[in-house]
Amino acid sequence: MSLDVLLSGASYMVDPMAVLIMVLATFLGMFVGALPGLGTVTALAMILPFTYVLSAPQAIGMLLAIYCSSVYGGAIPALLINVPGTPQSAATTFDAYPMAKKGLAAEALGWVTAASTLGGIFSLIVLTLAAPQLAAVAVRFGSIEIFALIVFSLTTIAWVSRGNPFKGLLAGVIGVFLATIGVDEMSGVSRFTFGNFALSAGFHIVPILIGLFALSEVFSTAGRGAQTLAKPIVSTGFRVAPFYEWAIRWKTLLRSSAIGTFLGILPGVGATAASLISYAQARAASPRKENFGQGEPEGVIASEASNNAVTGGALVPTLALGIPGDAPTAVMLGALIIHGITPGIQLFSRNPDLVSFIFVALLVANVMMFFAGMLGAQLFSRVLQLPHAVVMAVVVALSLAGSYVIRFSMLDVAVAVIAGIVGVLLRYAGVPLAPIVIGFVLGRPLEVNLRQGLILTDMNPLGFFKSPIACVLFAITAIVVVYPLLKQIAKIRRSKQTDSNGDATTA
Amino acid sequence: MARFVNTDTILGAVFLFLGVALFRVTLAVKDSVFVLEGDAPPYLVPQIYLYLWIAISAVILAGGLRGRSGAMPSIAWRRFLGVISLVIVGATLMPFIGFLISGTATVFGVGWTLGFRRTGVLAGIAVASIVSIWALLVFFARMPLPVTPGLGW
Repeated sequence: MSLDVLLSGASYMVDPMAVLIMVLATFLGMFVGALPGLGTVTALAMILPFTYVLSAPQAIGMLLAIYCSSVYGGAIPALLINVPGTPQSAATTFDAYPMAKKGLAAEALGWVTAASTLGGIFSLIVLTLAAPQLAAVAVRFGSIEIFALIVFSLTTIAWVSRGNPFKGLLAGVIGVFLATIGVDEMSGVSRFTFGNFALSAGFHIVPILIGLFALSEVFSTAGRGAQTLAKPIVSTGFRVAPFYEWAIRWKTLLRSSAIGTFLGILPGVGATAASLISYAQARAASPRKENFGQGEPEGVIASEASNNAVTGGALVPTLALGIPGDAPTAVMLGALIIHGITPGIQLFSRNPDLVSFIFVALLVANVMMFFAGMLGAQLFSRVLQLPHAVVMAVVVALSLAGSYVIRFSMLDVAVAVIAGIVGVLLRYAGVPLAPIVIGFVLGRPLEVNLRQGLILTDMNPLGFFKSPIACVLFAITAIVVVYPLLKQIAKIRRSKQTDSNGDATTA
Repeated sequence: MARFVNTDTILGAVFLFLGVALFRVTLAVKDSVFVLEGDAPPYLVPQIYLYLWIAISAVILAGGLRGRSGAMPSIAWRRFLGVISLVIVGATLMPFIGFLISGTATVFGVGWTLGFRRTGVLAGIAVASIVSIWALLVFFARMPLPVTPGLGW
């Protein structure tokens, strides 16, 4: 990417409104991230309807600021009440909370904030270098290859979800099926509308997001009954450790940022796994491993640098291929499409200014996050004292208003409420919700490319295997599905063998 | 019998039933659609998805029947159903009595049901939050919300 293009992208930041919106969004993202139970996707889903009146750069800047700062915001309750605000910050509790309990809350906040910022900037550098290269390779992709790529991403995301992988797959299938409702673009036939004209336009992503993530969280909170959280430790300030403290821990910072970025690029792995893996790696490699779990800053660095590095990593396939790596990037993808920008192969050749703006905005978002953390430390420690019931009630109001203003249709409000009820029931059944959203976002391109591929091959699906790129992608998909199954079968066999050996010894 | 009643059995059975019902819909309407020779019919892809849907649901149901899944979750039913009912009522009344009134009542009701019992504070928060959302969307973003008949807001 040339300096000219980068500068023209940066020129969007001259707009004082865009900067002001990003500042407000940074604080809002931190606020929502700091409230246990809400999280990044809820924050993005609730704010998405408000971006309609903004220009594309303003909206992108806003969403990027919320994306980065909500991941960071999750660390605030992790260190102050030992409850991660977002799942991504689960590993942060291991060392940040013991630090706060020792009276080092200001220092812990400093480590968290600086590590988050540096992790985010590291992933931005990788994004800037990798995304254009990936997009250049993707130019060779036709319908069949894009279909194979979507199948690979969707299968991986669904299959590597927590718990029963079949439930992840079911969620993915529900998502792609929902995308088929409405008038078929290729034939003009109405599908699954059951005579309801309002359904002809199909479902909009925003009510589905609001229902699945915001409303279902409210319903789930109601179902959990009364909860008591630990009394928050009120942070007395913000202190970044001196340089020599960082100098002895730079390897952990670099390793964790690299792990986070790499896992962010892979579909379906996500920031929670990244932070836990980074924490385990840091502990294994550290000369201070006996301090882990008792307030060792290296543990905080590992968790926070990696979960924030996922943000840039996950944007690599989103921008270059139009394929989101996780639920937050699926929302980002939806937002870009709403604003008339189609991420993927053409984005880099047709809108280089916008791509460079995204890079610059991500840098600005990370820097803003640092200063917002520095200035808002005491404020956000008080956010945790807000009654959860009141926060959830306000989320309901935002959800109803947000789903209505998308198309000024009560159908969208109904869809959000139904999605909320279905979402909470699926949560109880252990079905992950992220694959539904990702499936919904990818459903339309999946169908269009499959049908175009079938037309190209005279309706012969075996013709798809004539493409070497598609063959490689199908093979990787098969490995992703088959390998964990084989591992599980081997585990069952081993446990049966151990049981029978145990029985024989007892006899 | 009780061991068959678990989340996987219910999930698998419900989605298996839904999948089969939706598949029957595709069979009923597909003959009424004209398709050019060599073209992919509009119900082909949904049918592929529904094959997968049915197969996966059947696997989950089979796992549930073998008793491999976890127990039913414990739910505070009164609060759970109370909040859901309030949200449904609030959403249903929105086009008839306007967002300002239905939203305020919903926020108050949900906050109360979730256990916040300081009535005056809750009423203040409900009014303030709804007026803020209204102002932000209607005045700042110029996006209309359902109005109260006769009042115009």
